[in-house]
Order: sequence, then structure tokens, then C-alpha cells
Amino acid sequence: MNRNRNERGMALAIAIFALVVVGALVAGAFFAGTQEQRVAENTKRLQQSFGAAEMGLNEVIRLWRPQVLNKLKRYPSDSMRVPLALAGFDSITPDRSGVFGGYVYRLNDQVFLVDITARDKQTRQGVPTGGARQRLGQLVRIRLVDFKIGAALTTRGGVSLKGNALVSGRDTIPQGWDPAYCDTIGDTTKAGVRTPDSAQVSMQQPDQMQGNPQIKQDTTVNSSTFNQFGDISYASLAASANIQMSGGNYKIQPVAVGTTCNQAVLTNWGDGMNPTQPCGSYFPIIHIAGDATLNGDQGQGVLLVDGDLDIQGSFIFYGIVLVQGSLKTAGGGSTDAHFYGAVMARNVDLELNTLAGNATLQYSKCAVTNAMEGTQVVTPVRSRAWAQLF
Amino acid sequence: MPALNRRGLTMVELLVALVLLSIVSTALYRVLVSNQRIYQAQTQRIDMQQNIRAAGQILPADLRELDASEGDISAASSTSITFRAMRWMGVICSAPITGPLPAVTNPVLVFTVMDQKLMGERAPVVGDSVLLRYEGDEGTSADDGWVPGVITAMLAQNCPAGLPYNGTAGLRITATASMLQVAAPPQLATPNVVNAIYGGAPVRGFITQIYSLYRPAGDTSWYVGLTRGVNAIQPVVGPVLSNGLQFTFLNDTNNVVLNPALANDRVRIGSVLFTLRARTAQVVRNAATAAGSAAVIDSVTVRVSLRNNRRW
Repeated sequence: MNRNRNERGMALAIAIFALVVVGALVAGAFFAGTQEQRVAENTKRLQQSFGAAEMGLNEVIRLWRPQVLNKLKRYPSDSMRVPLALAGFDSITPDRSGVFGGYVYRLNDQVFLVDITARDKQTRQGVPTGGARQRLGQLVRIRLVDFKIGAALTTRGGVSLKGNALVSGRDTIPQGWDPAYCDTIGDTTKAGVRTPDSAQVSMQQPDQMQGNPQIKQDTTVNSSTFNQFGDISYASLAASANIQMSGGNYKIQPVAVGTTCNQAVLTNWGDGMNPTQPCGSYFPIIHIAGDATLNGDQGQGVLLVDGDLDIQGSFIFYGIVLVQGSLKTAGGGSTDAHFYGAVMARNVDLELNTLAGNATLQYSKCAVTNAMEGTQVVTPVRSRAWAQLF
Repeated sequence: MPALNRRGLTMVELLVALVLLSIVSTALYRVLVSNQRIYQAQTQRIDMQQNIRAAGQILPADLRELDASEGDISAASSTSITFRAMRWMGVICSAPITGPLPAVTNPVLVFTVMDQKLMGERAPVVGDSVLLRYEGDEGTSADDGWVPGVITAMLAQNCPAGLPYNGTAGLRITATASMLQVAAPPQLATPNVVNAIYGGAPVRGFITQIYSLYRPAGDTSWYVGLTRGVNAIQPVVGPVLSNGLQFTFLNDTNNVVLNPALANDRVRIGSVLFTLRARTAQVVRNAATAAGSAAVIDSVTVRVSLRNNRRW
């Protein structure tokens, strides 16, 4: 027994020492590995949030709502949260890897800034380990449709005014429209008619034509005047129309369900007579592929007619009317055709534009501006549109 | 206990104990050394991968914002790229006076930038280069562009009173500009016309920056170096191999740009593809066999599409 107590050994000490050393090395390796894994995870999340932000930029442009966003006041007076479809909430990307949301700012008449902040999915779920966030910007510009409107009526052919027909280039705010939403600075008076040959304009009474000048002879009016509008051609504008219709006989009137404007109805072209009603802010681009006859009631926006446009009786349109063929109106008594904005009738076959009865073509900068703002979508500016905003 | 009864270790016992101890010690040593090598090897690999990952983040972040079509890449080779690195963006609340003489190609432009929408990596400083959005004719976007300039002075000054800016805080910037000229490309209709730059126009600030493969004096290792403005080159990623940074420049149809040394070819760059070949800072021995000491090599190839090239 005594001998056993006197035995000395190092095995336990060596084993403990070895375990400590090996344990330290293993712990170090685990630590380094964990750090590496975390860095890799963060990198992945950074990429996900970046992808979500880029997608957000594209989605805002794709889902641009001119009636809302084009009416923004200049920054810093105004801004709009996007995406509009989920006001107050971020949107989830289709692959569900991230979310995005942000604001649209109007910088000046032409340029907007889309400011998007996106996060990866894990951040959105509230993972406490932090998250990745990316903020990107895109400068976009209203896609220019420069109609070069210089008169209440622009035509290549003849104009015949009969009865009580009136063509006026004096700027007028349509009845019932809020002047606060109308720009009345500059362009207050246009010509009554702009034509390459003033000899083709005839009227029964001298005051049937108003404007400065009454008749503007402009030899630059040619086929491209009706086909190319700044950066946009007639064909591409027609292709981008919200409402596509074939030629025919139509009655046009607003359709609302409760407080919602039913934009699915092709004969609903907005409600210019009642701007505060649900369809009052609806300004579609309408393309009619053929001859059209309209028998009331009203519409607004940009109307493109490939053939002739025949107005029977009472009809009011607010905005821009572009007729590749001839414009004819007929009516009398209390019924009339009334255009607020500007009309361009190409009259390629040199038929006469016949305006009879109480037809009135009234230049309205407010109607033109609202129609343009209500229909124009945006594209990124020509160069340097994209920005990392940090 | 009598002294004669005390017993020591016999020679045989001692030898056996020594042999056993040496066997255990050797085994333990080998385990420890092996563990240490694995640890070092892993640490080296992790460092290298961190390097590669950093390069995969840093370079694209700078390169993707370029507009090669309007001269953002001023020099390029297979191992180097010199470009305009965007640093901030702002919005003008007080537009500079442009025109009326198109012949004045280097006017001094004075404009105010809103503090509220000053965004980016850092704030503007004197000496920064700027690009002001040139609207020109509102009726077309064919003449839109960016006027380059250099900030010569800055002063805190509020934006104009009244809508829409309401006298919000701003920064008045004086810059010497180089007005756009009628040339192809880009074809600009009317250079330096009156009111060509509008209130609300965006302005971007940038510095010239270079990424290149380089070896510091007295060093045997290669690095990816970064030169910012007039500052000396600094290593940002490395060590890399002697061919550790290789650029390939592609046009919009994915064909290799013929000669990026030529300005006419550089404006056609649509994307930049770079390959980074990194190595571990120290040699790594094979942990299992203890044979073959060499640096571990890894590589990554990243393609960056330039987001800001002119679109038509």
C-alpha cells in the first residue's frame, strides 16, 4: 500500500495538456470557420438586397401611374411613396428573396428621382443578427411626346367653318376644372388654325376664328407633323395606348363602380365634365384603328384615330385629338361638339374638315397639360440614370 | 522501513517507460503539429477567400456606375483601369446661367445644391469633379447630356425662397465647366444655350480612380492597388499572383473590345469582366503528408455590366 502511494506519473497531466492544446486549436478553427460562414452569409444577403433594390427600380418604372406620379409637385414640396399598389408597405420580390420600397421625387418638369431601399428576406423577418440594406436611385424622365401644338387646330388640308362653329386659340380653362391645377403661365394664346395653306380656310363669319393670329400659315406642317412627335412616332404612341378599339360607332361615357373608375370598359374615356368624380383623374390614350363615329357623351386624354372621326351630336373631349383622316362634326340646336385642348387633323386625302352646328375647338393649355401628364410614362434618362445612393 | 528493502526501477522498467513515453510523445506531437498545420492552412485559405470576396464587392461597386459611352473610362489595359468613380449626387435648387455664347466652352458655373438630397459616399469637397445634367431643348432628349466641371469654391447658402425650395439649406458651388460640344458621339444640337441646365437638375460628383495590378517597392508580392485622385497607390486586395488581376472589356454584343487603349474603342465598352487570382500570404504545408509546401491559389471571375451607358 505504501509503495502504491509513492508512485509518481505524468500521464494525466500530459493528457490534460494535450486536450487543452487540441481543444484550443479546434476552437480556433471553429471560430475562424464560423466567421467565414458569417461573412459568406452577409455577402449573400448583400447581393440579395442589391438585386431586390434593382428590381424595385424597374418595377416602379414598369408600374408607373401617370395620373398620380406625373402630377407630383416639385421636390421638396412633394413626394410619393412607392410601390403604389401597396401603400405603406414594402413589396416582396417574385423570388421572395427580398423586399423593396421607397419614394419618387419630382426634380423638375422633366426629371424624377426614384429612390429605392431594399433589404434581404432574412432582415425583413427580423433576424436579430443584423441585415443587409441597399439604396439605389434611378433618374427617369417623362417620355417626350412633343406634339408641337401651335394652334387650336392644326391641319394639312382645308378647313370650312359653317353655322355657329368656332375655332379659338385663346387659352381657356374647361368649365368645372380647378384653376389651381392649371398652368396658365405662357402659351396663353395660340393661333386658331395652323395650316400650310391659309387659302384653304373658309368661314361664314369673321369671328368664327379667334387666336393670335387667326390663321397661321406654316409651311413646315407636313406629314411628319402628324407622324413624329419628338422622340415618339405615331405608331409607337398608338401601340402604347391604354384603349385599343377598332373602327365603328360608339357612345363614350364614364363608368364608375362606387368610388372606383372602371378602366376595363373600353368606352370609358374618363370624366372631364366632373373632375372630382372617380374617373375625373383618368386620362387614357385611346387608339381607334379605323374610321369612328361618336354619338356622345364625353372623354379625355389623347385620342388617336387612324381614319376619319365623325362627331354626331353632343360630344365633349378634353385633351389632344389626332386624326389621321378627316374630322367632321354635325349637329345643331343645343347639341354640339366641343373640344378643349388641341386638335390635329391630318386630312391626307385633302378632304375638307367640316365643322358645323355649334362645334367648338377651344385651345386649352390646362387640358393639354393634364392629358399629357396623365398619359406619359417614363424611361430612364439618356445616360447616367443609375446611382448608388448609400 | 530498512534501507535495504527500498527498491528502484530496474533498467528494463526504465527502458520500457522511456520507450512508451517517446511513442506517446511522438504521437502527441504529430497530432499537435497536424492540428496546427490544419489551423494555419484554414486561416490562410480564409484570408485569401476574404480577399477574393472583397475584390468581388469593391470593384463592381465602383465599376457598375460607369458610363463608358461618355468617357468615364479614361484608360484601360489588361491589368489596369482608370475611371470616374462617383462619390455623391445632389439636386440643384438654383440653376447656373448658361449661354448665350456657344463659343464660350469653359464658363464658370455657379449653382446651389440642396442639402436635403445630397447623397452618396461622402459630401462634396473643393477639387471634386462634377457632372451637371444638361437638358438643352426640352422638346427632345436627343441633346440631353452631362456637363463636366471642377469645383473651385464652395459656400453654405440657402436655396431660393418661395416654392418649391422655400429657402432650404444648400451649398453654393462654383465650378469651371467644359460645355458640351457639337460632336459625334454624342450629337448635341445646341451647346451652351441659355437655360440649358434647369433647376432641379441632378449633379454628380466624382474623382478619378485607378485599379491596377502592382508590386510595392521592395516587396516580392503583387497586389490589387487603388489610386484615388492624386493620392499614392495603396494595396486593397492581396497578395495576388503576378497575373492576379486581368481585365477583359466587352461591348454591348458581348464581343471583346479590340483595343481598350484607344478612346474610340473604350466608349464601346458595355461590360467589364475581371479575373482575380489570389494566393495565400504564407505557404501552406499539406497537413496529412507534411509534403509539398506551397501557397494555395484560388480565383474568381466577375462580370460587371455598366449601368449608365447612353441608351440611344
